[in-house]
Amino acid sequence: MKYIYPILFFIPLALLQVTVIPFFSYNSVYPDLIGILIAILGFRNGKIYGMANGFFLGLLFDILTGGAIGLSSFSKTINGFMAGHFYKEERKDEEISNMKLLLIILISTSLDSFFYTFLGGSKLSFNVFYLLLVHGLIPGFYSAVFSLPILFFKEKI
Amino acid sequence: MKSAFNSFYKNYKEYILFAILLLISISLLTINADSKIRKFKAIAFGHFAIVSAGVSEIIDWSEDSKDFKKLQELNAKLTLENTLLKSRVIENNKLRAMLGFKNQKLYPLIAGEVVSKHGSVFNGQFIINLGTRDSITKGMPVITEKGIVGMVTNVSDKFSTVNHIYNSEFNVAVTFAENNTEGILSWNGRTLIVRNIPTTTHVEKDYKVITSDFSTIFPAKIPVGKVSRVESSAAGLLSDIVIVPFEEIESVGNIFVMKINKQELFLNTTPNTSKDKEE
Repeated sequence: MKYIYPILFFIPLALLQVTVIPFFSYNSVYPDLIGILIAILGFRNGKIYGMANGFFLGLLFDILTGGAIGLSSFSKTINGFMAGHFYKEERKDEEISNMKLLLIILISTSLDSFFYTFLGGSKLSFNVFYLLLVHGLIPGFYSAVFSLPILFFKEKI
Repeated sequence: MKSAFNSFYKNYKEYILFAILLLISISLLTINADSKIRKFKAIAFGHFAIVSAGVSEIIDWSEDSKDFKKLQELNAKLTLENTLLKSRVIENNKLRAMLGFKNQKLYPLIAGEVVSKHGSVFNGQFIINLGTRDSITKGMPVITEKGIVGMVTNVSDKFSTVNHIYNSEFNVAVTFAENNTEGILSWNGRTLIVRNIPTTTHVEKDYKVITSDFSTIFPAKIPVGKVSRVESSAAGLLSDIVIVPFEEIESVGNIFVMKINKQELFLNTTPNTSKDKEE
């Protein structure tokens, strides 16, 4: 079941990402639902599980949406790896505070967004600090805010 | 030796896997232009778009009636005609000779809808519900009644991906309608910009920007946007002109694809250096 859950969550989230989420975009900054899913999976199951899911779900998202294949898989691998860094094997589910999970989603999705823009927007002349703030932290914060309702279902993930 | 390798693998397996996955991702990025990959992507997004079109239909509270769509199409045609007439008035006012004045052809418009949107600040894209069965081909311009939106980049049977103007891959040859200054419009991740216009050329706020006669991709005189501000660059010798598009790209729902014949468009175009840069 551990290997089916990510796909079960991915499909509706990918659909929401391309149909509903654009209504919430501000200056081309979107909350990243797939990024949130991968951060939660990595945090709850470890680095390997997180980055493997990041890679495959990112790849799947690239293919399904007609985007550049490899771009999301790259950034989401980093996302899953980063979130998995905070995984503790002996920790019980009830010990995970929502605040901590939110912070990890913020960090992981910020890095995800940063590397996505850094790699894909190489033609653009951004300086790294601008990129980190505007295309890293702001989308990451937006994703963290959007993850609030998802956290209600975190026990199921 | 074997035990040392095993212990190394055991200690660093996460990092090894991490590096491998990143390397695979980067190598995948290099094969995107391959025609087989493009075909595969077209099939994949075509199938996914069927589902996302269904979801879009559900969340589309303001369902357009056929009459409304017909009126929108008519409006788009009239806007194009109007822009053409306005630009002719400006030319006449300046007592320009009719030399070099090209006949503007009105291309057929195919009405469609945006099914899904995605992308980042540099690669804005959306999927539309028109494909090869609607005679859509790669490179066709996408417009609304307000102006230019983007260009078709990949086509499946029923759906197509469109690179909109907020995409670093999207460049278009444009003209400032008031003084016929030519330039290349591109997206720099923050603003739409026409770079390297000599400061001796007078361009001011609210000047209208339309597609150029020299464009080999877009028919001439399609409205693009207006000048928002002029920024000085290169020791005051050149200016960068910031443009605001007429269409609010992020809220686009209904679009039209211009059914152009590339060969015909190319034959009507005078070659110049700008076309080399245009994509």
